[in-house]
Amino acid sequence: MGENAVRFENVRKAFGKQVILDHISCDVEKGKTTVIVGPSGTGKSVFLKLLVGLLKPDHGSIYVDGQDVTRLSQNDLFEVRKKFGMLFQDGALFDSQNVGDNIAFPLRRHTRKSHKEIMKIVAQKLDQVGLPGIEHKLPSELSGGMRKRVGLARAMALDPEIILFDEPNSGLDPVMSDAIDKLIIKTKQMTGSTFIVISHDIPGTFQIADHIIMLYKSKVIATGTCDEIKASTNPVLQQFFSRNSEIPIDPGYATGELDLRPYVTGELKDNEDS
Amino acid sequence: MNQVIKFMSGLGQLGFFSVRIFTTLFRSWPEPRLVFEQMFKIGVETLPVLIAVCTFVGTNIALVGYHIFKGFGGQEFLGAYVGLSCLREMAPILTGALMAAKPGTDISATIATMRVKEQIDALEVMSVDPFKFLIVPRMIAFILTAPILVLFADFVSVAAGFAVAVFQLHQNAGHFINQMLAYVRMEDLINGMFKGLLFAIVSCILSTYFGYTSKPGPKGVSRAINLSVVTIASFIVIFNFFLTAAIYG
Repeated sequence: MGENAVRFENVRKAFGKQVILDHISCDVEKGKTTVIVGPSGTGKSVFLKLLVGLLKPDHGSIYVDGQDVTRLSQNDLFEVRKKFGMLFQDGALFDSQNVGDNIAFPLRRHTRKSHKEIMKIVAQKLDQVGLPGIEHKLPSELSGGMRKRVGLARAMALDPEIILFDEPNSGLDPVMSDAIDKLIIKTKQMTGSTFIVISHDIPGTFQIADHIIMLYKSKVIATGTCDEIKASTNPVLQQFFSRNSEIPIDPGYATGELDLRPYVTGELKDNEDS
Repeated sequence: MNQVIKFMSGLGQLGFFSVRIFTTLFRSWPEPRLVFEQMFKIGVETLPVLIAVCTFVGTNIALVGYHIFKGFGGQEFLGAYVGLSCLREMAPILTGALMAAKPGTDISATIATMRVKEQIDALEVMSVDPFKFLIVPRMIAFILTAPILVLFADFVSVAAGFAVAVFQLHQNAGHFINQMLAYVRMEDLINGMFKGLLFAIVSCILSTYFGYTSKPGPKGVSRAINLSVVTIASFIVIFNFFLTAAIYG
């Protein structure tokens, strides 16, 4: 295995009594695409939020290029985050800004480039994601797939070392889903960055992954290349990748996406009145 | 007991939230463009409603005051009564309440929607401090705009009271103004502006807090707006009593 871009070491995260990640350790190789899979509610999104410091682990260390992000001050964390670009589930584009301003946002904040240079980069990034000339459209005028592609263009704006994808295929039809997978592969070849992808999409996972990490019941139960995962005799892996809803995966365990509000509100039963 | 713990924990969080706003404000000044945008928005949103509301509050104070004072022959004090009521109490309270109702709800809704749609997380991942980018410009805009809005409210409510006194109740215009100037001091004007400033700071803290800590989904957003208006309105009325007691004894 090559040099690590990211290392999780004995990381534990719980919200109240609910343990989300239970002393997990794993590595993400630099320059490769690592896909994190697992049933809903197994802590995949928490994994990403811990990595970028949006959440703090209860225990353990998370290294990004050898630097433990769990022990950084807010200012140092902002510096480390410049290494990341992140594509959120729905793109997380700013509604009040047009596509051009959304992509230009990190460039205006963190570089001293002129407006002309910034707009040139914006056009280039839009071209790379297959949406040239839509700078003046508002996010509300875009389809789900287009929003994700614009989100990817924004994530790539500063040419980050590590690009994170939070369920890039969610809510997309199979054709658009495949288009996004192919875009990820193309972007990977263009940038050479480290890609970390959270996914449920099994065909897409095998298409884009160099390495797979499987989370189940708060633990890493398998890591390996696509071939190693496919060849595994672990019944949970076999069931997950064959999309079989029969046992052994405990359907009562993974009942839906985790609600991440507790880290903001300090409340642990956010859905109690919903 | 659980509710008490929840309430105390909420208060603690609100305290930390407020401290973070002011430490961010004193550590790094946001882009002036962001502040001016917010000031313009607050002015445009609040001023028309404030003028309309203050006009009718001023007229009402003059009418009610006239009939009360007339009972014991004290109509000559109408100018002083209108001036003191508007400058000391009504103008700052109405400014605070309308800032909570218009820009306050707008802030809660905007920030709550950004929270729910992961846009605040996106800001953080792009190494942009959401407090510096979203909250501090709004706080500065509230601080700078509130005293000016109080002045508008003072002028409009007193002018409306004057108009009713002179044109409807046929009081002597010169006497109304002289009485007002005899009893209203500069401190009343400044204290009113100070009260409006405090109400604006509280409105901004609470509306950003409820937006920032919004729960997921449309219900979370509507709850944030609701909590913001109800809490700020209640707070202003209660806080105003203590401020008035502290200032005027």
